[in-house]
Amino acid sequence: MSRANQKRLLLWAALFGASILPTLSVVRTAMAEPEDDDAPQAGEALSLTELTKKKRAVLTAMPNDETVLINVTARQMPASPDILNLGRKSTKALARCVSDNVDDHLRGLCAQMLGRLGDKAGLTALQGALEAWDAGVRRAAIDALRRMPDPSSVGPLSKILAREDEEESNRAAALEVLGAMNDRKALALVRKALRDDATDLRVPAFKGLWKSRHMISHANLVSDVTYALGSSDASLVLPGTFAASELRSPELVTPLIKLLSHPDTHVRNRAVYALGKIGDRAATRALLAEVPRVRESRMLNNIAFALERLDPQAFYATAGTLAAHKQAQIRMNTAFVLGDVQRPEGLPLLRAALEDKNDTVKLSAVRALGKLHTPDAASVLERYIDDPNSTLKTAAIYSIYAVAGASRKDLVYDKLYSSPDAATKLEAAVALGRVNDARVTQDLVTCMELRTCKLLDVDPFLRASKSPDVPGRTLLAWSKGRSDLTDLVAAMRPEGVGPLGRSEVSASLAHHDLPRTLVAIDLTGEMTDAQAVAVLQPLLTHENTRLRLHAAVALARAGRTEADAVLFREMDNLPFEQLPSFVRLVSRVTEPAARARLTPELVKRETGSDAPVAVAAAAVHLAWAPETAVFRMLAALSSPSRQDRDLAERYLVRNDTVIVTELLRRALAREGNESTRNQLRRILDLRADRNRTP
Amino acid sequence: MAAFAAALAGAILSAGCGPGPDEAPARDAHDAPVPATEPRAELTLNVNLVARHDCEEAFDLALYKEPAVELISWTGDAGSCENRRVKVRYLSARASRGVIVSRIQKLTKKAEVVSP
Repeated sequence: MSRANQKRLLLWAALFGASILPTLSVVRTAMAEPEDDDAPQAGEALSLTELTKKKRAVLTAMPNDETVLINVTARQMPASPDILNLGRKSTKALARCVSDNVDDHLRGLCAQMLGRLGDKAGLTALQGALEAWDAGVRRAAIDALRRMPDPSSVGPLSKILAREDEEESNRAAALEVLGAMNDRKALALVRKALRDDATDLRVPAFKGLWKSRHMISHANLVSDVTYALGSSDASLVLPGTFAASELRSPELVTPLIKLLSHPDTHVRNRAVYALGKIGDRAATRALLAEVPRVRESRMLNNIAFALERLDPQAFYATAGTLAAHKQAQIRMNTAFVLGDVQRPEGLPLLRAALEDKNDTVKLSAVRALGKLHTPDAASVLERYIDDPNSTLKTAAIYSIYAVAGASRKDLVYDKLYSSPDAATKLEAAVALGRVNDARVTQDLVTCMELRTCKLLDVDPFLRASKSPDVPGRTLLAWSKGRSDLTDLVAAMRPEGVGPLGRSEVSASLAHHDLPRTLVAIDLTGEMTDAQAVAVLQPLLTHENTRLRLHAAVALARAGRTEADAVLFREMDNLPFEQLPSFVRLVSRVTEPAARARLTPELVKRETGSDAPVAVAAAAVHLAWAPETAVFRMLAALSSPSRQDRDLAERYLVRNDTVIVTELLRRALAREGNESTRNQLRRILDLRADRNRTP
Repeated sequence: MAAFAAALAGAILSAGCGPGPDEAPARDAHDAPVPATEPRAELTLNVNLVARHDCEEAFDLALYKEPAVELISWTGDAGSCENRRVKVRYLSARASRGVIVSRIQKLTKKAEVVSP
């Protein structure tokens, strides 16, 4: 290298070094900074052990000393799960933290936890925090107030809207929360914001208004939704289409039809979906006119479903045209839709599609025929059972099996189960398991053990199996950590499950494996095993709330009345967000004696003033005695409170029993209140959609 | 005239005029519990439902309009509209067996009483 080049290189190196000095300095500072909140802060020199002790001391003091969080620093603050484990006993301390701590981050954190607790004793502190200097604290308070709607929050939340220096995102959040307050003044504010073109708050205003829909007359609701649908802002139009689907008002047909040419695909699809739900024939012509223009299969499917609903004749005429369309993709979609509507009228069109030159169209038609529930569909497929195209052959065999059921199980066994291909064989075994064909027992037990099939697909077979091999192998898999098999093991009650369950409770407890301990307690509870009492009884005073609860449920099932009091004490103290888990857990109680003992306390809570606890109690009762308890849920659905309505909807959607579907249909048929009827309709749709989803 | 009124209302709404005052929706009739002491009876039938995408639900909603019908239970292929077996529990002091059967026949393509 020449001297000149060396000089140039040194110069460049010096310049580069000078240029990255500030960066290096920042990197050094960043690396020197603590990586978590446990690092000492100014004036503190606590070791990790001392810090742990301090946190523990703060946590222990929280239920009895409401001032304990006023002077804690971020380092000394106990972890959120530990605070939530205290339940509502921590409300007062958290409220003082929100009001009196000087650290904005901690104030926000405390406000957030108050929201998760949902205890109205925290309302005053949260409303006060709406005037905090820090926007983050105000936001945390707004979000927490959403969880505990109360008319007293309307005034303070309104001030958020009026503040000139308020952040736009806080105003938006406040509008949505105001809509959930069941208050006419709040509703007026929300509606005013919806019609205010000068701000960007129309979307949150519409969402807030929709939360108040039970307080709005039909005419006004239609007017508000029409306004949203006619907006030039696509983000407002979209929630409008969802609202239209629920409202199902024929007055919305015209504004929805206009959206069929909207530039946003999602809006167009939702508009078609809403037109289908409304079911007004006035939309038929517009939907038919769209068909030749459609470029996406989803839209085509939505149009077909809408037409099938509002004018079946027009639907089949259109399907006939589409089945002869020049694009194979559209012919394939047409076959798919004809199968999905499941009506025998589709048979001639699908039979014709079998002659299509395109294999994907033919395959779509073969699969669709399997959904028609007519024996004629099976007979037209017979010619494909030895087709050289293996995909077509397999689809035809499954379609015949779907139509004819168990009477054609040998076809699946001979043609597919005998395949040398492992995946084809397993798929056939699972299909045969659905009709309890004992020839596939070993395949299904093995696939359960190796997780090569979905447990949901083989669970009914394994429960019904008479093979002595099945219970033992299932228990063995459970003992190796397969917690997902708990309900299956409980149903089979294999020999040795009692002692194994008890030992697992002790072992997983010793290993501090909380999830596994809970599962083992649940299994022990299923056995209503008298010997389990000695293992479970001490857990009633364990420091972990979930553990206490699971133990209380298991003991209550075994007839231990001392557990009943623990169960209800915990229920009354639980954070709002944990009540659905409580409902799931207590719904497991099947023993008539335990139910009879616990029902009076549940019924007492159903009529209490604490909405989340009352509706949770009704949800447990619904699981135990649906015909009796459904009326409390219906009352919640008709409540003047949006929170009651939303909670009832949530529990009614989650309960997946057939009888609840029937009771909801009965309620819908007899309901005279339009708002409640809309909500019942929505719940039934959500339940049906869930059942349709594989 | 009605079309003109609807068009006028539409024009007013699209012009950005706000809605009128809200009134609390009136409380209307709804499903209500029946005392356990009231007599009940059951009927089982094989039915062919009117073909449509949601034939079972449509049947239920129509039959539950009859206040004497307390609970409908289905067995068999849930996706099918043909050859379905249905059990209907009804309040026998409020409607006779004949009334319920006749109602079901009107709502189905074919209905055969299996029992009693």
